[in-house]
Amino acid sequence: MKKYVIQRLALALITAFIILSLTYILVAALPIQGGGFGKEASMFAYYQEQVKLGYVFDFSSAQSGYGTELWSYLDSNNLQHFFYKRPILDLYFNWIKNIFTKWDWGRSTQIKLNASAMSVILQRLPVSLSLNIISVVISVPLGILLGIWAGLKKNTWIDHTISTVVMIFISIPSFVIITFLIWIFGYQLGWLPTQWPSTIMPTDYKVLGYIIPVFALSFGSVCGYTRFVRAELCEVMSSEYLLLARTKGLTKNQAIIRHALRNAFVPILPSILAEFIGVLGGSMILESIYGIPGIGFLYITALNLKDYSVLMVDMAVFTMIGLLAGIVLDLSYGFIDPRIRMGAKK
Amino acid sequence: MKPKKDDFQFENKMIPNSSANSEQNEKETIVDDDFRLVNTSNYSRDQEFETKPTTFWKDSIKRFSKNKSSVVAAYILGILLLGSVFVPIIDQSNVADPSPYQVYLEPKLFDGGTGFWDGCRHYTDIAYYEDPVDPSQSGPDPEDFNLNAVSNLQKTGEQYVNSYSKFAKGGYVKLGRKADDINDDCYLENIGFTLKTDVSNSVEIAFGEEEIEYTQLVAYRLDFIYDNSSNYEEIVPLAEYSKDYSTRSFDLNAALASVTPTSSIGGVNSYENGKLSITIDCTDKTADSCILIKSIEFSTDSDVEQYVESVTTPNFTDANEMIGRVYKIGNDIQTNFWNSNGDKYLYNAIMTSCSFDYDTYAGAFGIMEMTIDQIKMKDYVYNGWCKYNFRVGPSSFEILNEKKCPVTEVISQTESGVSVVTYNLTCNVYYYRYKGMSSMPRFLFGTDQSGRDMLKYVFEGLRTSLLLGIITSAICFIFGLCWGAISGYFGGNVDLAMERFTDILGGLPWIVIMTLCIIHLGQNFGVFALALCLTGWIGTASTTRTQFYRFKGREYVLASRTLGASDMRLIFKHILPNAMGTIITGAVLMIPGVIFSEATISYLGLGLRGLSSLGVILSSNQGELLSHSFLLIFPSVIIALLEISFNLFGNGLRDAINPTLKGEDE
Repeated sequence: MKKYVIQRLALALITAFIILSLTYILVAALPIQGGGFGKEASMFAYYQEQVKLGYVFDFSSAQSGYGTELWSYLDSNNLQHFFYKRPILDLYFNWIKNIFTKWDWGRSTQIKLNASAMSVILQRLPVSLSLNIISVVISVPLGILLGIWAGLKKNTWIDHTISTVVMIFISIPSFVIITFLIWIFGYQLGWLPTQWPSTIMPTDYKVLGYIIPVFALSFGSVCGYTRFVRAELCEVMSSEYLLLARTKGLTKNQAIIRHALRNAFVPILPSILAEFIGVLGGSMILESIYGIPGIGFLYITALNLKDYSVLMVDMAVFTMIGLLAGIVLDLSYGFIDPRIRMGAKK
Repeated sequence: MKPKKDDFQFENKMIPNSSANSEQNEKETIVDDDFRLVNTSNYSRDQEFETKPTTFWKDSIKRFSKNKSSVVAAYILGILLLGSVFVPIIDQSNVADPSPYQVYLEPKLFDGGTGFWDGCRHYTDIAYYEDPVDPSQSGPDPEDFNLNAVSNLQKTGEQYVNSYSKFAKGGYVKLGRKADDINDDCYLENIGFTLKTDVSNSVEIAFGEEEIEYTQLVAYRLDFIYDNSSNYEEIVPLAEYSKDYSTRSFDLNAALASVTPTSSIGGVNSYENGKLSITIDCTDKTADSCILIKSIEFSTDSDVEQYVESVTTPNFTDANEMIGRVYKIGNDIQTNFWNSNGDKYLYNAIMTSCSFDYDTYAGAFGIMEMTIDQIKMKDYVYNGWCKYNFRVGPSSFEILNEKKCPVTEVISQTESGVSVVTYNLTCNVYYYRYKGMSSMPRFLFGTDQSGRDMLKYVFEGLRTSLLLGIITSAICFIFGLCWGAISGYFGGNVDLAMERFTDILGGLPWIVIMTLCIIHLGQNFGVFALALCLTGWIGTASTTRTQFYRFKGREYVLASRTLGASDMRLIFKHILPNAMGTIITGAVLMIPGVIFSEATISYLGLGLRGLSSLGVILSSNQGELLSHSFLLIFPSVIIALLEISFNLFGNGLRDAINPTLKGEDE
């Protein structure tokens, strides 16, 4: 088992490395936004930093053969600077070097000039995180309860109603649901804020501001859990060991709680764990509709402003979260149910 | 039904055991006589089937048709598919160019007045304009609404406004200064006029006494100022500082009797550049101070006509009108006839609001007053719809064809040009007839901000979305099938290498791939299809691989192999047909996924350019949610319907093709 965990982690790291390298090279191939993103002095500071980090050439005269000039500047010592982008492979190796030696993921150009891209992300992570953790905390018990209810009352009107509602909510795109939530509760009824409250708002208003995003995030996962739990429970309920338990003289409740639920939860728990990690990614759609300053909204902002360093780090975060969720899902199967031996040979 | 089946199996397993036990106990011996020949003929054969043989697919269809919800979903899907093909063909309206005359028409299915889906809209809290001349023209702002289309007009209430509006009336002029104002002087005075004593001159000033938040009413004084004969300002006090807010009037002739006039001709004194000045007491600086003036009226006309013709006196009885003179005549300080040192605002003018039903179609296409040129009119006469004689004028207009003539009434006629005279006619016209339409248009889904017919626009979007979904899914399906087949069939190192590749590709979030493609290659249809294909095939590939692993060890494959079948034959003739059911359902469920992804990325503002898809429509109408929610409701309903029916259909198909998976995640 230990060997398998290490193997999986190593493999994930290699996969992440390859993915991020590919992404970086693809992003680096894009034309950098040359000039025009700040005051001259701060831009000069930015370019000097870039030269130091090894992303940009600094020449004292105009050059040919280095592509288009990024920016030119006459500094206070009357020295002329001409900045050119380094070749892509140069950029790539310097990028890797900077990450491994200084944990420097590049500098933001548009969102916060010359700030480290990592700090820009870290600043917005708490909002996404708190929102998603709250929504998981709400949606997991709710989804499981609904699923159990539907599963126990299989083929009754309760089951049909729950299944239909779940079906509908899974099918409707999240942005439609969010938009109409905002419309109904924000504008028509006026109960809730129509936008994410800014930090200067009073606390009770800020708490109210959580309701729509948490609802919007929970809808999908509640439906997912309900469906999953119901399917698992239905399968377990028709198994032979449950019949045996009943014939042994257990009451229906005892049989369900001690046997059916325990076994049904074997595949459910790992998916919940994976969801816990998966939600760190936040919801890009929700954040940009509701104006939540989290990493999903940052992604869209960075993309629109062409702030590629921030975009790159954001992509890295999303990729790592995805890979991590996959590993946790696989590993937790083995921890929860010893019969499943991950990585075992045939 | 599962439990019953399992109960049955359970019993079956018990029976053989018990019978075996009983046989052991009896120890019966079997002799030759116990056997009897069943068939004595030379050859035996099975009995022929009496029922028709069924194939796997026929059986699947039979199972599918038993699933009610999936069948309904299939019908809805069919309707949407047909709609996406035929609606853009049948609907002739132009959605490529803007049509400014038909913006924001409400959806209309039934005739006006039915109250639901009838193209009418209920407006509330709209400013009410009371036309003093023609009461029939009273109502909401004629610049925004066609009054012919307004019905159920009701005044709903009054509200106070503190800034000029052409719909407001009354109120006070609030003259005051802020507590922190460094300027100590605060007065209001009219621009000077010449006052002559040949007529009686008096002035009446009405004040208001209302409590204002954070502001105190202070004392004021009144003076009359004029230029004396040596051109110096002479101040004649009318009233000392007081807080008397009642209506006050002063006889100016009497007040001026004791002072020397500017000039005096034949017993008539004239006082030039005469001004009434109201000064407020600014000694208390603890709070903002002000006074409220309701009206100021001089009894005689003064000759301020030199500035503006339309307003003859600085008098005002309506504070809203007084403040509004600036907007009405131009922002020249003198044109509103009152100079002030300090703040001069409107306070508590009354604005009436109204509610009404507005037939947006009658508003846009019904009778409206407009100017048409003579060529148009000649056309109508030529078509035999009406009679008109340009020499005689409006009185000669006569309608010949009630059903077709656009013009209902000619109001006036103007001529222009010297050598060649051209006529312009101001008429009441049916706008839709003027536009050459045979009947009032009816937009099922309404129209958007540039006058596009939403029905056509939405279905065109649906067509794009479906096309993208189907094309992408087809490509992904074929590629994923080949990939999965090779990987699953050959296994070993080939499988390992191919799996690692899909691992890496699958590890990339789709949004990352999508954005990279978009920023590198642009935002057209092909790029979208490519970006969605890049990761879309992985699902199909893994399903196919699993299925191949499942079937490649079966006996019939082995048998075929021993008979010398090639790999191609084994893959395509033996394994694939068996695995097809599972793979196909996966492919069908991929279509809504692709549409979903496209809509999501479009909604984020990274969508297709130059083509409408459902996501693009929803994204561009995001801001209309409050004012024209139907622009979002219809596309949302369509996309929700599409997704729901695709999912139901896909699930039904899976249950039909692969009954063992039934209920796994429905």
